Amino acid sequence: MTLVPDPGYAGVGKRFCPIWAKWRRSLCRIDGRGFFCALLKGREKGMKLQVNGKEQECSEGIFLTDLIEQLALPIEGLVAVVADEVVPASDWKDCSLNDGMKIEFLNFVSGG
Amino acid sequence: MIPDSKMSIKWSKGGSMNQENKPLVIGGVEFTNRLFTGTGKFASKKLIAPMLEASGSQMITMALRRVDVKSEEENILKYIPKGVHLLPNTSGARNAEEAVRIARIARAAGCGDFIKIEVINDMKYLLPDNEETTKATQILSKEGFIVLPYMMPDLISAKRMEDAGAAAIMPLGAPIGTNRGLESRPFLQILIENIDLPVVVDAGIGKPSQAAEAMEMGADAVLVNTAITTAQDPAKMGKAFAMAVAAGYEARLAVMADEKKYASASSPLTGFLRDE
Repeated sequence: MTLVPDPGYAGVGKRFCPIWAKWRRSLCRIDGRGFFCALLKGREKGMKLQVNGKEQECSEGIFLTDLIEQLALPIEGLVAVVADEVVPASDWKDCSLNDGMKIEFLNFVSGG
Repeated sequence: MIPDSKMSIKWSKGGSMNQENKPLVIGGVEFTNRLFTGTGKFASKKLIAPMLEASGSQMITMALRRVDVKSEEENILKYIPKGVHLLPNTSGARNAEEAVRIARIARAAGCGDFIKIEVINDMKYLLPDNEETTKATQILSKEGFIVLPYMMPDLISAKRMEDAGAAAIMPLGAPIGTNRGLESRPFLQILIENIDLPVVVDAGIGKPSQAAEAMEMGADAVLVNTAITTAQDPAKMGKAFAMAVAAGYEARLAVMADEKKYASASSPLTGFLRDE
């Protein structure tokens, strides 16, 4: 069996855990670049946000504008609330998101 | 038990019953049209602008909700012509805290300072919670909002909302969407006679005649949603309501004659063409 380079390995960064790394490497060796690698890579580099009350996974260090794109939200009239503050559309590209942040995407709808 | 001094009611003749033709001013904004409208339940949002044009309504409500990618619900603001005042509501709020949060977001999102406070816990009759509404009114008026609380027509609550800084009060005529008219008539009358703030009868008005009646009674304006938006021709119905509101207001200015128990002939009771 040839040793398959682990694409997720480089991303471990600061918190290196030898047992975890060994287990993960062995999984990648079995599966190559397939499902497990992708899964593990995602786990290593992703973060979780609370979007409209639901958990949403996304890659680390993304900006609000990236999340809007990822969720394919209609931009017109969109109101983005990050950590209880409304972020104006002009600031979406500069609004960086952190793990665990609460984000609400709202819009004005019909009502009496 | 000694009653709180704040609770004592001054039995003044409120400004609402004044028969002078005074402009309706809410939060420093003058309204020449006393019909406020809503955007709920239109078959198509394209009907909003023609309705506003036909009725001349200068204030319209809308709600704030989480985006639902699956639903077809579009941004309502693009369908409302410029110059019409926006009155976002806090529908969906179950307590003062939630209402305050919605109001703050609506203003930060560019909807202006007007806010209709709507705090509802009861999903069967959709009756407003006056106590929580008063709390929200107090918080938001201090933050510079122009607060219009939707409320049960209760004088003590209305006085508290007045003290809390409401810009107007919006008592219900009947439960939302019922089209039953002024079921709360005697209690509306008490508010009209004793509250100095503008009284806008909101909810339950189903026909132009009922809107006219509210204005004749002394209401300063009415807010109509369902009866207009679910009519076959919302623009025409909007116009009919605007005419009824204007007629009712005009009748009040003209000072109506009293009701009488027995007939009072309009034609002379002499000179009949018959032999006695």
